[in-house]
Amino acid sequence: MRSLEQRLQLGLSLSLLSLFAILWFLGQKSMNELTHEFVVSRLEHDIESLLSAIKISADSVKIAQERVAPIYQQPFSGHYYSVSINNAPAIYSHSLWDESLISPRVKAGGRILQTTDGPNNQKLLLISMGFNKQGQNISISLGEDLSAIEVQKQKFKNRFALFSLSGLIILLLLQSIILRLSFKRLELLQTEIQRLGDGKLIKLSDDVPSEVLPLVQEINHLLSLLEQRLMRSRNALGNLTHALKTPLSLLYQYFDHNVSKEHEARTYVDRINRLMDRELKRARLAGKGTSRQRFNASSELPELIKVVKQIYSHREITIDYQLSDTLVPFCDREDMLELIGNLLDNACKWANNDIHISLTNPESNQVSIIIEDDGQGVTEEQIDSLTRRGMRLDETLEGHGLGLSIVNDIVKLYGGSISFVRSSSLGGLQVKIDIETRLD
Amino acid sequence: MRVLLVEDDETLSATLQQDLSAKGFAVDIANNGVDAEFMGNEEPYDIAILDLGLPQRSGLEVLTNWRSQDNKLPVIILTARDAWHERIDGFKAGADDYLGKPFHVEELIVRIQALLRRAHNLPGKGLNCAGLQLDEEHQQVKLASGETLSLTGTEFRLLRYFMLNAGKILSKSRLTEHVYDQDFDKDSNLIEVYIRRLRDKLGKERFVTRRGQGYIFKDSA
Repeated sequence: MRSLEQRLQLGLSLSLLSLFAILWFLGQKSMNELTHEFVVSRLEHDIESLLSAIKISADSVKIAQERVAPIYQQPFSGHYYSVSINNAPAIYSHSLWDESLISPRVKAGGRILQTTDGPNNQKLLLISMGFNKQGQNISISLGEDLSAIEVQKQKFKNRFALFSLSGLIILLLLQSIILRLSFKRLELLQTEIQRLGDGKLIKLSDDVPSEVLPLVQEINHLLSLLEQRLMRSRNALGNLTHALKTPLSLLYQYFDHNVSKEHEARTYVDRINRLMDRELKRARLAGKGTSRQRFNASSELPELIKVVKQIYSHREITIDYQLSDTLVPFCDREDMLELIGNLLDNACKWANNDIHISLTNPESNQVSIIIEDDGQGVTEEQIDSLTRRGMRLDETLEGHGLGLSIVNDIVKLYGGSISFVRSSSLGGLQVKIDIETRLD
Repeated sequence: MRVLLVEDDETLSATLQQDLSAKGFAVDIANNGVDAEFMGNEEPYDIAILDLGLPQRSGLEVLTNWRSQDNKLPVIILTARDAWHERIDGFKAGADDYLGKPFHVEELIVRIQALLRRAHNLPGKGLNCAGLQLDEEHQQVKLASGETLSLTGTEFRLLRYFMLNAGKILSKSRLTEHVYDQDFDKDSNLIEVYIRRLRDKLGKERFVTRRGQGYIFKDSA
């Protein structure tokens, strides 16, 4: 069974049920014994008094009726006796009327307890005891009809059953409510973990039942470890690349001063720079499932556009943007800035004046980014080749160099798609990117 | 034009200083963040080139401090860290331009010139003023008549400063500060000599003398 709750529920219910069953059984048993004991002790008493009512003279045996309880006189009262002395026929109580009571003869000192059928289909508890009185062997059997007691017993049993059953139901209900409530706190943890996966949380809250606290702490520990490791490896790569860039700058400067010479060496330096840049940017990509900051288009995009415009401030470029209202922060902030930044940068290189960017979410877990420019520089063949070559790109095509290849890396990382067409509204290149934003 | 070059790699800063000087800039170098912040606040620089990865105080911090003290010094960030989110951080801190390493000196110079024009509210491609067109590449000036005159290094720097600040009274000490680097002997009367030379070349009427105050470069011919 997978669910802890169901398991607990079942376990607790079973133990409750067995507890009630035992209770039931013991209750029945002790009540039976109790009534039995009670009846038997009463009968024993009656035997005593009956015995004392037997008058034995030399020639006859008489029972002094006045000393016998009147209940034995009433026909079929449910209380009967039979007295046998020596081998003489048994004397029956008046209550038996003309019926007889089949009863064993018991030797003096003997005692037999049994149930037997009495008159009028009565069920009798029969006690037979043997005595020796004045040299005579007397065997007395007393019977008492149990049906009245049985009725009482049954009544009690019914009441007891009703009581137990309702108690059981109430307890089961209570137990299930308590369990549900306890597990509610675990559900909170579950939604937290989900939010963690979505990157809306950085760590799990410590406010959990103590049973799962070690688990939560362990998860948090692993998260921070993972984050640290990621940071370390990224930083190491970043530091190396950044450290290499200054000497690379010096090499650039060297070749700037010696323009005619060593043209080839210069292209090598260029290549090293490109490779470093690309690998650095790739390593930086966070991708899905990280707990870093999301990209909030409505606040970040205007900032980004401002930066792009500042970089291209020597040109008259207007960048319009359009965001759909339903857009929520998505993906990783730095990844998206890199993606859109590079696309805008490319668009600026190609555009005459106008660039248009729009971010929409056609479906809840999808974002569409469309960037169009009014540049005439791209030919149909180039658009074709961009699409056809699946952007393995064309690091040679001016302006669509490194920028687009990192764009491609990001799109791939998010399992998205990229397409190039001629912009119908602006006439230049239109780049359309669809990415999945569900982070799992 | 005085440039504050903040770069901790000495070889790179030395090369850059050479290249920038050749283009008529007076360059001072700071190789750590603390010195850079102090110099940027104390000396009347026209532009700063700021590396971000600096010892003692990061470039971004230096820039933020300048801006919080209302120091409007135009700043070009020159850094190996050129991811888009880093650029955004740079511009948010108050940078005016951003150039990633490695870079070509010409690109840096083009950006410095463009930023200087922008900082002086002179948009457009070249430096044009009062019928004169300054060729910053070849350090020449083109007259309205079409005649081209070459300038010496100091003449060029002086004229560029005048053209960027046309119509304003410029004191001799201010001119000295912006044309020479901090090691120059400020008592010198050389400025007068160079103004006389510019007057000879471009016409006396362009440079008006204000007794006790300084000079004005007339912005309309």
